[in-house]
Amino acid sequence: MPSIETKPVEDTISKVNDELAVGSDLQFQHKWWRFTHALWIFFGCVIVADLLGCFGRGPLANATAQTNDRTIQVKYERIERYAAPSILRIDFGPTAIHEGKIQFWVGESVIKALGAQRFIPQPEKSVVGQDGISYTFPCPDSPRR
Amino acid sequence: MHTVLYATFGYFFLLLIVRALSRRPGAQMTPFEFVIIFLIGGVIILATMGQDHSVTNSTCAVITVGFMHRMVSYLKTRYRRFGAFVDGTPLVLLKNGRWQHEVMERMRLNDMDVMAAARTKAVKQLSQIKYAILERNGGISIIKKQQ
Repeated sequence: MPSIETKPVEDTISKVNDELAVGSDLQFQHKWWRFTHALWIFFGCVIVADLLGCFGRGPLANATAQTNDRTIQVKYERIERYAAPSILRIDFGPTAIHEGKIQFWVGESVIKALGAQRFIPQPEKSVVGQDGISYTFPCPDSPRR
Repeated sequence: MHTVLYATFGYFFLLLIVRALSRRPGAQMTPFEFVIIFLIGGVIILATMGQDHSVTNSTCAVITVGFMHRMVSYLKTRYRRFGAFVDGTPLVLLKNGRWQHEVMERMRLNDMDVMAAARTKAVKQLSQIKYAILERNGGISIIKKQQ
């Protein structure tokens, strides 16, 4: 039968009042309390930053770009979250409408980088070209998005 | 690949949060602590698994967490300082019949918590206690005064 290695018991655990072995380390604990205090302040800052939109989905993350004649206005998120979907909203002015339709071309660089999972409203027609996709949307008289 | 990284991050992040929440969630679990544990666990699972809910992905996540746990357990026994970081150290709450106010306040404990532990040792009142120790697992050990 294999033997198990043994060693004598030593009083290695610090005592309270020289009688009760507790192993308390108040010096470490004070450092830990200071650390957790700083940690919760940091977490508080993270929450405030999140509410402001520093990590996307908030007032600071929302941005708008438009052409000079306001034919196209794009509302997008300045800060995106990795592996999370986001919404790109495009408003077309009346000058973008031709024969009751809007034709909208999206370059390959955009499609590849961002993908295009869902369009609202659905395009009437989409044509895949060499370096992008052309979408055609039916359009009544009023401006559409 | 992502699942392993997310599970590793999730494990250490959860460890940090639970440690920073003070020690009560370990042993004296009230409904108040249950809410915290389940809610945080649920949120971490969502981020770890992402869109991939396959058996392969969840198996990899579970194995990763298992490995992390094994590694932390080994480091805890090998390095006492690391053990103190992960589990904390025991803290004296009541010494020679006197409350250790700073410890009680910082650990967010009150006399009711100590008395609850004392009752399990057939101690009828607080004045019968010589020492009360908050253990690393969140339990409170009671040492009675000699009669």
